[in-house]
Amino acid sequence: MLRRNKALLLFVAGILLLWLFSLLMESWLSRDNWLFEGYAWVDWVHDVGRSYMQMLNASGNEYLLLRLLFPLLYTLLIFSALNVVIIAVLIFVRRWLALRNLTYSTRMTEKVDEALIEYLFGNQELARENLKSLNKGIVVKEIVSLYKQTLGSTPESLKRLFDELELDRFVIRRIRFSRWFTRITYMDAAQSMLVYHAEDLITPYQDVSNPYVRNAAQVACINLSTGNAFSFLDVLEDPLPVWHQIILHKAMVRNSIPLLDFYEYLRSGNDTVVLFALNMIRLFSQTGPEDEVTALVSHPNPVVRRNALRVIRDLKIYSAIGIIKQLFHNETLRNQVDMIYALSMDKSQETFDFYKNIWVETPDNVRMEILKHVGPSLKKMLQADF
Amino acid sequence: MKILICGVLPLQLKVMQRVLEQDGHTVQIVSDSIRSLQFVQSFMPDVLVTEILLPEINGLEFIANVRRLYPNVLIVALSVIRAERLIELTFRLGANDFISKPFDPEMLSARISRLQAKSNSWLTYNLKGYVT
Repeated sequence: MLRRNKALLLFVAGILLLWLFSLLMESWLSRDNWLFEGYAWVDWVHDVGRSYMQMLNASGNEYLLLRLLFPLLYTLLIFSALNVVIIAVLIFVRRWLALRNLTYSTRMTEKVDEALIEYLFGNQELARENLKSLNKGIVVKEIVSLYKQTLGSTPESLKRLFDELELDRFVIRRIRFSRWFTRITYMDAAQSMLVYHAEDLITPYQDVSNPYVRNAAQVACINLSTGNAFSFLDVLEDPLPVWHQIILHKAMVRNSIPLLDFYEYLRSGNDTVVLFALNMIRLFSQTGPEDEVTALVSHPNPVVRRNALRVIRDLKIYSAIGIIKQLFHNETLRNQVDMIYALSMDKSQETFDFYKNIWVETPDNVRMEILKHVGPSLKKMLQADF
Repeated sequence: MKILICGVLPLQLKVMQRVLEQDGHTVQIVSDSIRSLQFVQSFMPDVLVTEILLPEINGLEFIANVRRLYPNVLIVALSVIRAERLIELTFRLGANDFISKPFDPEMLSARISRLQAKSNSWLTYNLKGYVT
């Protein structure tokens, strides 16, 4: 209730505040002296307001409405002018700070880069001492960036340096105490540099409401986990976005993580987890209980049904053909096309008869799909009816 | 050999520069992609190593322009994208080699040497054919 009427409550509170300020303004303007009396740079605001109010009071009933509203209008005028000044000052200060930070970070990055080059190709001892005195955040950023981009002896040296500088402690501290966007950066650093003892710290973030933190934590745990890297799928209630599914797949391939039995997740209550499991089964051609996939052809979510049909086609699950034929008429147009794709693996007479039976009431685009998968004689026969 | 490296990450460029300089090459790096073509003109490299994903210009267009203006420059393209279509397009636009990232900087040196050797043998073969 309170949350629903938040805007209205704010509006009412604003009006009340304004009214309160206008009362204060009225009492302020009716006084002869005030705190800054005599200070010309600010006293003129009081003098101008006071003279106008006196003029309106002297006019009797002629400007009654203006007289009543004057304190409020004068308050609004002062607030607006102050707002303009404050916003302008804030913009300039923030811009100046941003430029100062940029200059600092550019200069520091250059110093860090020089020290890292020295470490990789020159005097390691000297470079290490030099790096200890530089900004640790930038050192981590540069090490991780180069670590991700290179292979061979360079990443090995960088990992050694990362451990020597005890940057793992710094990364853990930043994950624990930073704001969410910085936390993501350091979660990525922890998983890239294989800071295994950060796993316990990152694991609780796998189920937070912020999707960016949640996804970063899930990917980090895949790389750092020594047990079941996908345990978060058991408890995940929020949707698993497609983009994140791609990232998880990439993380699995890149880090050669042993495959899970994705068939276990086909019964999940979260449709996006089911979709992820179906996609992984299809991409890794994972075999398992076929009836689990077949059951999904009648799932209430059409996207799950479509993906189940793709798995059936790619894994050649012949046992699903009967149920696909049964459900064909009640399916959406898009899924009917996928059903025809799935049926294309079966070249039996029964399936050709099925095509003939559905031909008359089938829309044109589904007919086109059917024509792709039948032999020339049946094609000719069907086209005669087309 | 004169090598020009165009890329985005200054640290990575410096690592490549050091590795190639250790092998006796003269190397210049450019992280300002808008001026990369000017650098090619002023430095006149034997080999150009460039990323395909550059911030301000199209890396593929850059490769095509360098190939058109300087047909003798050997071009090595770098990219994190390993799509077959991109690799094919890169070669079709005139690149001599393609290296996908992440990569071993020492391997880059070996690839450049091999490319140079190949190019020399092609030149010798053609010169021989011309003389005889």
